[in-house]
Amino acid sequence: MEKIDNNKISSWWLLVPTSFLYIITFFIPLITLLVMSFSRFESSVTTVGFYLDNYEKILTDGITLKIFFQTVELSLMITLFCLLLGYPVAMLMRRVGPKARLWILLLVVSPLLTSIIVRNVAWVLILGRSGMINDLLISWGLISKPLPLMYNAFGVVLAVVHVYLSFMVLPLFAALSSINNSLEEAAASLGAKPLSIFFNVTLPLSLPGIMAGCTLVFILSMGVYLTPVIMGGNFVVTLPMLIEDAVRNRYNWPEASAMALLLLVAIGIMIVISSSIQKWVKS
Amino acid sequence: MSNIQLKNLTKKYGSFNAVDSINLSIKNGEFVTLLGPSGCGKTTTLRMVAGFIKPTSGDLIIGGSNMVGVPPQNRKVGLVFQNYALFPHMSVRKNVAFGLKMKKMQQSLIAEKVNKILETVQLQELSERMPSELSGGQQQRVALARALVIEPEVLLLDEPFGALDKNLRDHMRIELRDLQRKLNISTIFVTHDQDEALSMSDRIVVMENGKICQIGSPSEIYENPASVFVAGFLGLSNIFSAVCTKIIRAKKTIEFEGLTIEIESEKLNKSDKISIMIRPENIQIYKKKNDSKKEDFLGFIKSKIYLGSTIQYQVKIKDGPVILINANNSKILNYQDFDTNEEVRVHLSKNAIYPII
Amino acid sequence: MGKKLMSNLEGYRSLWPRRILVIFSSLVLFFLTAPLVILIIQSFTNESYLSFPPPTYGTRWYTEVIYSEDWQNATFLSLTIAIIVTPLSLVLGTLVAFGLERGPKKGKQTIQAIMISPMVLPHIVLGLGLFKIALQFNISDSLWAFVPAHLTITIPFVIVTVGASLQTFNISLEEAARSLGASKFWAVWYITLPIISPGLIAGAIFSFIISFDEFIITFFLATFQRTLPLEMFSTLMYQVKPSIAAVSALTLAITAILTVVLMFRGQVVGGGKIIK
Ligand SMILES: Nc1ncnc2c1ncn2[C@@H]1O[C@H](COP(=O)(O)OP(=O)(O)OP(=O)(O)O)[C@@H](O)[C@H]1O
Ligand SMILES: [Mg+2]
Repeated sequence: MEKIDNNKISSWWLLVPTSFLYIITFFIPLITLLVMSFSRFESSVTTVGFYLDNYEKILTDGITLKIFFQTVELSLMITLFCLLLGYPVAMLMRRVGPKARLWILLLVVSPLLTSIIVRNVAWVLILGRSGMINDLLISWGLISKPLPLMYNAFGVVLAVVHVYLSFMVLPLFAALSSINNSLEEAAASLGAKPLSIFFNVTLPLSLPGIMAGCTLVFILSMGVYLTPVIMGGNFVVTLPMLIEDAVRNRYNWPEASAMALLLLVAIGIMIVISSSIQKWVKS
Repeated sequence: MSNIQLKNLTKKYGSFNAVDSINLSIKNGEFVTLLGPSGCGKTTTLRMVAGFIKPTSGDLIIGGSNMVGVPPQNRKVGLVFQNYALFPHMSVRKNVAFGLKMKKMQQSLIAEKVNKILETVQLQELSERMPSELSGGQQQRVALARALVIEPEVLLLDEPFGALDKNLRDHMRIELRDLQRKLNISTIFVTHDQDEALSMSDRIVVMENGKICQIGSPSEIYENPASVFVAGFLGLSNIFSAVCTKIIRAKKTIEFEGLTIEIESEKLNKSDKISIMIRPENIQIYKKKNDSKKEDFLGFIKSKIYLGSTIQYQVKIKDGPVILINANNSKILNYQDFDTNEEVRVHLSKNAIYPII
Repeated sequence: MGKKLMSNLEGYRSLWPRRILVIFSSLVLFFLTAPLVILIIQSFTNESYLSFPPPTYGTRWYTEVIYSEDWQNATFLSLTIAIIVTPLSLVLGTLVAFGLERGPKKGKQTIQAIMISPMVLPHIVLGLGLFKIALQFNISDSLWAFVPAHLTITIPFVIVTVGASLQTFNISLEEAARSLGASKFWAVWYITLPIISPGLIAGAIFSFIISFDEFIITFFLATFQRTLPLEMFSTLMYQVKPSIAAVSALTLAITAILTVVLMFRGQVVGGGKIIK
């Protein structure tokens, strides 16, 4: 075992300012939430202690848990669509020349440079009751009443996929471009058909990228608040919306904290699952 | 321009000795080469001298003052890296001027010094180019100029010609040595190319496993290697284990691989087990039919490799070992050509056999 | 045999996937970019309602937005926060990246994971926790709350981008500078930083845009103050007016211009034309 070099360990001083910031803005808030989640909230008074009231409530009131699973379902749907849309783009990026690749990359990351709210506004203008699509379809006489494109799960999924697709394409592309071309060519030279090459060589080898992209998009989707509010109206409710409501409207910090921890646990489980799948794939 | 002393210099990584208690003294203006196989600690030694690695123990004295603990920028050491380490975002001129700028030298003085050194390395015309626009040899010269312009007391070079092709390397060798002589700057040169070491050095330090095996001039190291390792590392050689069987004053009879031969040596005692080295160029072979001397051995050509100025034969000696022989291929000496499987006579003179005790 | 092999390779390389792949990917890229283009076009409507294509064009809504005090205040606040956050986050994140890269290899992975963990924490959770702390310190609704909160989510991006370029940086360049008489600080200043500037610039762009765009954390922390995203949100909740399209197009322009400027500077520095 190499001994830690004193010379090198002094470099860790450089982490001190940020660590200090994190303690105040990251660790203490998280610990506070943890403590709060075990506190009791009765007639607008919070009592610190070790109570399981909040967890009991969110697990048994029938609504919170239902919305939690809705959020999970929505996130899985978003992740799946991101994968289905993102994989072909990443594959194309790998096949084309460096110049075309740069252009595609630019287009893929360009949404990252624009604000989420701006992108949501764009979708409102396209999908809304008097949005572009309904306008055009009505003026062409194809429909008489506006189609419900927004204020439902469809609109939310579409808009969130638009926001997070870049986060899927980047890890996929990284994984795909690290696959050696000659592996696929070797399979081809052995007479394998393109489809079977894809399923037997390309897809398994890109699995780490798929897992990374899916985990990232799932985590991001679980925490998404803005897009469901704008695109879902009050018809699509997610756990983050419940959290916001509990604090801003009911001042029920303990319950909000417990829901936040539920969210963190779900994300933690997802990370554990994906890393154990990756380990399993490696072996 | 200053003498350097390494006293028991040691670097440990955990319990592993990368450099193990090295003692070396380098005179003013001397050109010393560290030579050895990969991983023997050459770079580590050099980087300790430069100040990038702190020695675990031992002393490093440059120009009379102990340098242990002195940061690299205060050591007056010029360093040339294997990959040149030219600053990619600066022109040739800015690269060379960097060290002077760090000394807060006057702008006009900097320009003067930079021009002078660029002229010395013949790079005046390329001074506004970026490093990426230079050939390997040109980049090498910029690196050299950059290290020399600050007038260091010591010049350190870590495999500076590693990335160059053979011709350029030979050329740069001569250029570097001329420049070093002209500036009379104490130099430590690291290489694992034996030709480079032999042709350039005042002295060669052969290292193995973090230790020094032998220090000496190129001819000493080549002709009188101190160990089998040194003999094997420098140049081609035939090395056999031998036993001394008979002593008549300075005349000693030794036996190896079924052959018996008489050599002259002061040190050898009876029954000593030793190694002997025979350089391939010191062995002669003749056509079999020529009048044979008694002490010659008979054998036949096992293989033949054409090397241009020499021809390398492997000869199997009758009731003896296979031996490597380099025969001169000069058309003006009375050279002879042999075919594979041809029977030959092998002449081993006493002086050709060097006992390693 | 050889012929069959060739045709198989050809088939693999070109025929089937290529066309479908190109068509499908083009549709996806269209999906990614078209909404923004449509938004920009709609923002130039001269009517009092939004429609596509707009019946008449003009800059009426831009004028209204630019002269509106609410929008001015929101933009000013957002820019102020982003302009404070970007350099701070760049400095702090770069220090961390250096510390991790130059520190002992042992434990590096764990510490790095901790330092970038705010990245995977949902902002709603972070916002909730920060809100509680800010209430405790009685600093909510002020820059004292907004800036540290934004720093917490921007620093990880700087650590990642700068860390990536530091990994490919050849340390012997810095050592060469040291041997030429530069102290550690000046060697980093003159050599390392200019060479890793693409990473620094990417970190700066990310920091600015993330801060400028941040919604939910600021939403928790703000009571009366309104950043641009907050103002846009409340307007949007109230009514979808052309002004919202104009503001969106303007923020898009701000971030795009900033990105181009920073990238251009990066290229110039990276190309070695600028050395200070
Ligand atoms: N940071 C380190 N930690 C542990 N061991 C190290 C470290 N640096 C070098 N070593 C070990 O020290 C020994 C000497 O390394 P060094 O780089 O000096 O070799 P070298 O003679 O320059 O070899 P080469 O000819 O390949 O450049 C090697 O065995 C190497 O593995
Ligand atoms: Mg080395």
